[in-house]
Amino acid sequence: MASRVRAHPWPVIALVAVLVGATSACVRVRPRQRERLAHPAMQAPVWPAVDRADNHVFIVREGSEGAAGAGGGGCGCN
Amino acid sequence: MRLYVDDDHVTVVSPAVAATAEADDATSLTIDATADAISSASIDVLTSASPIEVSELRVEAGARVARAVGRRLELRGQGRGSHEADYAAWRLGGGAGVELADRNLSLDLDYQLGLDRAGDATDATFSRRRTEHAVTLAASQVLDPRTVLDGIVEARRADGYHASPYRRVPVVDPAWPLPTWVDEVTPEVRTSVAALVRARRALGAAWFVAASQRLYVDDWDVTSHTTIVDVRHQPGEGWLLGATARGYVQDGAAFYRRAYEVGDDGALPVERTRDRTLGPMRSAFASLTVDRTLWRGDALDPAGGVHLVVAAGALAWWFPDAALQARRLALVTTASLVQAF
Repeated sequence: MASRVRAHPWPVIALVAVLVGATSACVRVRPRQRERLAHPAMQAPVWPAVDRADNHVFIVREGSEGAAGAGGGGCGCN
Repeated sequence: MRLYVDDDHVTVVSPAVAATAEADDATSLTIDATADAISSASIDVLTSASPIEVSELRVEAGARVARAVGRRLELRGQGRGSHEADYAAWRLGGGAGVELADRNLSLDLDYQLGLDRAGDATDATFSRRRTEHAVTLAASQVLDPRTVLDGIVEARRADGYHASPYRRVPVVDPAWPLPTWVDEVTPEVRTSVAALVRARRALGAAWFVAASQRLYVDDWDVTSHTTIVDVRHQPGEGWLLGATARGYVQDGAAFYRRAYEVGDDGALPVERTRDRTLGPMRSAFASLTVDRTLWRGDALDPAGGVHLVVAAGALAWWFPDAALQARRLALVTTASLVQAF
């Protein structure tokens, strides 16, 4: 029988709770306040070619895929 | 250009090219192509090493078109194809993105259809198909002038052949001195959900950090967690440095066994695999990236001009169930020249 590696869902549950709480509490940021948000280092992904290459390795070498983080990169910063 | 080498004598050299053109003020077209030149010591190195030397070429190409509708809505579609001697894959998809709340909230919904055909380099008559549907919902919320929060949920259902014709599974019968080697058999349907939460924050004028946590579950009982922390630093004009740390832990599929035995009635296990990526595993990845602006076209656009981006990463896997090769190491290096207008 295979030994089992235990993986608990609490980290994601905690982060979702933070997300919901933070979203409900956030303020509207005006265009002139977006200088830091518009910096290339704040984009997701910062370097798409590197991200694609690394994710390809992860998909091939691991048993799960999806929601890898390349999506959802918008923030109205452009 | 990407170079992958690991300690099982696998080398993958992957030249790639991508270009984006603006057809008009509202429409952009992106095309890309890449090739993987693979040389290895086995057909399926990670999962069932054999002494056979393999050289293989995989070619992949894709196109994506996006069109802005009004000021806040984007529609997009994309297609992608991948071909190698014994495997072909097609991906077709489309989606929409909208910005709300004075551009403080963006929502994206995408669908992708996947069509795969697996062949066997040693048997021209072998052909198995798999169809995949994936739906992704993503949201990004600006929290303050320095912080963005992202949430992504992706649901996926794959129907068809998931096994490999090259993987033969040893099944032990206590009445026989040697195991019987049989075909790999896995369930026909795999349904999964992955969810990611990520925070991006600017720290001061030159430091940036992003952290994400992903949970994956599927009906094969595979559960995984992925934690990623990215730190970016701009030490001066024309330089951007990045460091990434990634940890991954995975629980094995319900039917995965370190070793299979025939049942009391002499029957073979209905589902059996020798794919170590379906067993319990952990991995750790760390990388450094250097982005050097060689030429800046527009002084107001820090992402414009010509950039040289070099990234080097080390990846290690641990397989607690494996008697042999319980730890594996790989190096991944990417160098790219990016010209933005």
